[in-house]
Amino acid sequence: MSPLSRRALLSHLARLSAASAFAPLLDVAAAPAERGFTPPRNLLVLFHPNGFEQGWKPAMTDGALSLGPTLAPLEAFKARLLVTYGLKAGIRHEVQAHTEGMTSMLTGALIQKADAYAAHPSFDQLVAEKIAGASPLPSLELGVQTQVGFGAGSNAAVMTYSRAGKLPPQDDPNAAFMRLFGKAATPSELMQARARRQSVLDLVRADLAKVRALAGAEAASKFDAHAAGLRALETRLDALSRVRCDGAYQRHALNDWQLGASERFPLLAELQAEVAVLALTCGVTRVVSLQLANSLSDRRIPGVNPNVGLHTVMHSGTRAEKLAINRYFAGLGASVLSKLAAAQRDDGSSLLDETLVVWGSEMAIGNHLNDPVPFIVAGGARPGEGYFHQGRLLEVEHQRTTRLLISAMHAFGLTGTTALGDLKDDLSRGPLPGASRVAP
Amino acid sequence: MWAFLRSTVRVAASPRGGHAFPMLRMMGLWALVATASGCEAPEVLAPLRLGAQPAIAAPSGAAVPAPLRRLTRQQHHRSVLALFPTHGLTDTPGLRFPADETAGPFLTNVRQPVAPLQVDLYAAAAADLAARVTAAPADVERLVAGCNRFRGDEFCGTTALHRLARRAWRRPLDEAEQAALTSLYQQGAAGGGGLRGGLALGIEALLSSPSFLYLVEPGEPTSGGRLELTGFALASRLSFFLWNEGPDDALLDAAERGELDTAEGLAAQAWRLLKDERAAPQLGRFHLEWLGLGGLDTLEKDTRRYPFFTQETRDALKAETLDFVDTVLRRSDGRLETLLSAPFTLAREPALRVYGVDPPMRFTPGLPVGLDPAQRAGLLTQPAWLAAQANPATTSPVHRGLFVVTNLLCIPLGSPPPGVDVTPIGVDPTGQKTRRQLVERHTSDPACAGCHRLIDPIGLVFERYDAVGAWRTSDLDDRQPIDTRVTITTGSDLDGPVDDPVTLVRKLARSQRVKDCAVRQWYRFALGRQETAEDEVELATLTARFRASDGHVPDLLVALVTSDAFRTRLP
Repeated sequence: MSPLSRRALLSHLARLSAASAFAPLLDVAAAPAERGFTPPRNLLVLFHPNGFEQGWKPAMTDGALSLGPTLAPLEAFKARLLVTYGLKAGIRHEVQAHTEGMTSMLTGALIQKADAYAAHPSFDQLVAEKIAGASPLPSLELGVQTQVGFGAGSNAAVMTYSRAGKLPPQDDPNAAFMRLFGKAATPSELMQARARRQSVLDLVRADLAKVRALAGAEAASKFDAHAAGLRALETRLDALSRVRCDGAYQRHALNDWQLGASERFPLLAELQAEVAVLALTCGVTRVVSLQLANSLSDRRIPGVNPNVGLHTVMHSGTRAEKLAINRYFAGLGASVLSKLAAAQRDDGSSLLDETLVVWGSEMAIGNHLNDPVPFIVAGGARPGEGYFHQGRLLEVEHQRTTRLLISAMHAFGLTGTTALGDLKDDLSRGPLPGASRVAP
Repeated sequence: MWAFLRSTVRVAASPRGGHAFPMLRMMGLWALVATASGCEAPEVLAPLRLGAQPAIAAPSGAAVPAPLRRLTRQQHHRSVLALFPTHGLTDTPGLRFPADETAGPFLTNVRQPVAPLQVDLYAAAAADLAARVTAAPADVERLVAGCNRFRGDEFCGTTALHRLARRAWRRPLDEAEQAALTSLYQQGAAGGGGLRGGLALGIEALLSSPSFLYLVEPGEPTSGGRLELTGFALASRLSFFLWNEGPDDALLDAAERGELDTAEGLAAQAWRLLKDERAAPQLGRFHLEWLGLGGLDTLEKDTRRYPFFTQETRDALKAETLDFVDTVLRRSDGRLETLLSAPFTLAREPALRVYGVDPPMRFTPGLPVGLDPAQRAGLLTQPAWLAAQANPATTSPVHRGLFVVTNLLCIPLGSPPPGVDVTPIGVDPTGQKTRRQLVERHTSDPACAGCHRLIDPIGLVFERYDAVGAWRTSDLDDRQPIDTRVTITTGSDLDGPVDDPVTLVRKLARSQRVKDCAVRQWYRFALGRQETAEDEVELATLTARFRASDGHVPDLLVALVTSDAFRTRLP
């Protein structure tokens, strides 16, 4: 790891204006258009908890989306959105909507015990297997106060899973930034850091072999996961040392209180969105997820729900209180889209044109209903060139959310995928009818 | 003071290995676990009646080995502090790792394999800590303190690393490991790195290694098919159980001398650890997690109704519970009954405000303050628990009742049947119904009554306390007098009519059922995992002993440490 201190590194980084051109990506060859659409280059999964209160459904007016009060903050992007209405979460038991909703949302996994973790990988990880290529990090999981207060540490606070197990998000944007960009600067420093790392790893690997030999099967598989993590770390550090990125990241001092205090939620959301966009801009990864809070979150956000926690409001607040929260999350979604749109290439195309944003929630509304779960697909190609038919509302009835995820996987070329996780019935299988501009 | 030290150390010198775990199949206690099923079937509760439990066959199948434990955030943090006690570390990266998993109510990382992010964070933490403990020349000197510097940097540096490694890895190093560490020192010291560079590289490697990050538990096979843990593995188990950090040198020395191979030796060390101040936060942690107070630090209340519920108040409520537990367990009679019924507090001022008690004349924070015995009795009448098991603005009889049923009576309940309205009980918009009447909807609906006839009466008794645990006589929302007269029906020795919370809490304090459940919870806590069928024989022995000792908690903990379950594991 880098011997540089966080302070030293961050102070070297100038904040770039949002409109500045982003650095060339590592592997510039864009996939050719095939089957009549341009596949997205990146995937960004966005989550907000507890769905939207009833009445959020947008309308189609004269062939255009009419967003309504809940989604109004997304007005500037409405031509780039496919808003679905009527998708059903993989929740079998309403009272377990928090845990079942989170574990099944991106995986299609059905859990047998309320506190179980998903036993299947999430779709973003399957996409990463396909597209990660030589990017330093196969995927990046970011969170905003996901591990604070209610739900922390539980399966209601995790949505992404590799084949080996859960991938909890990182809540500290400074630490996330350092993980990606906190590397030694000069060639000689790099060589030193590498030699040092190799020495440490030699000893760690010898220890790993020793303890693994003492262990039973269960422990051995855990040690194997640890070994895989070490290999990934080595690969990442080598690959990162080749990345040149003049990133925009505003350093904020973030102590434990700030990382945990409700009042800092908006700042942390902003910073994590910056890290997410920077990671894509600089080609550090091609798959990012950004998890806003968790399914049981009790965050109290200034000016939004100052008195009572998120989950309590979404359960039993007034309509106005719920709308304030919904609009706040819609605004955060708009902010992510704005940042993607602002990162532009010389030819005028933007990161939003290359990044498919799949944005959803784990349940319909705070009262644990599983239908209609809000799911929105944004960007991914220049307008009119992508897989998804955007700028409109897609109404469906009793189709599982997994079908939209399968559609997204098809957009990335994973056309062999017909089902996710345990959801294999007719309502859950295959791409979502009507979502694509090109597929039947 | 130190009453528990006078209690006789009664250690059954049980023969190691070869004990009869299959006997479990005849044990009625297994029923406690086997009834974890849906609420819609009230008959599942029948076998719970104590004393008359029909034997239920344990599920057949292979025995489940104990899962590998990875250090929790606190264990990582505290172990690091213990490794570098003179460096003035207070804040370490371990505290900010992703949240820990739980088994039952207790924090323990046994379920999922480590995520790549966590491996990165371990590496970053090790590098950060290695840099911090070698930052200044004085820091480096602290690491080699006591070494004769005339013997040179390499001698002192490698000696320090070998000593640190034994502490960090909680076992002696073999020759190859010592040589590898020496070679690492030499690499770090080369090129101008010197003593500081050598130590830093070695420390980074030690803290990155699985031997530090996991509880590796080697053992010798016994005739009973289990592994008898080595003395060093036992030292780790013992130390993480009672201190939540790695063993100190004295414990490792005892292991090296073979003293942990006997029950007497283990018991002696267990008492030593319990007497040490490092046991206090750990005994407190058991109760915080058992009582569901893990989220107390960030517990949110409706600030319109409870503007005083600030961070200062939360901290004071938590401190009150911790001080109370420490006082009862380590400085008083050590009994569970006292924990659950003593009418005093060690509250600091913000907490006294919740009680509506003025600080007495010549008030000294930390000294006991007597409370109205008609209103307060032990942990379940303290604001920390009452506030944690409530909504932000209102009480939640269901949460409080469910908590007592599952965590204190160890009656596992399933989920409500599909399709029922699970909206939390709020305030009646028409103002016609009291909260009690709203809650009683559960017990009139047959779909809900199966479980709620257990849960709700218990919860309703606690209606005397509002959403932050203050005593009240009427509900702020419905302005109606509060009626706490209920009849408890749990199939346990708790059953019967109860008029007020203090009566209920005193019943809980004397209940055999609660004692038996406490043994089960301590067992999970000590071993860092959920119990399995194989554990029921041991649990029955410990339960009998805990009853016989009249619920003496330190005695139970030492009995647990010397039990076969603690000293062996399945391969």
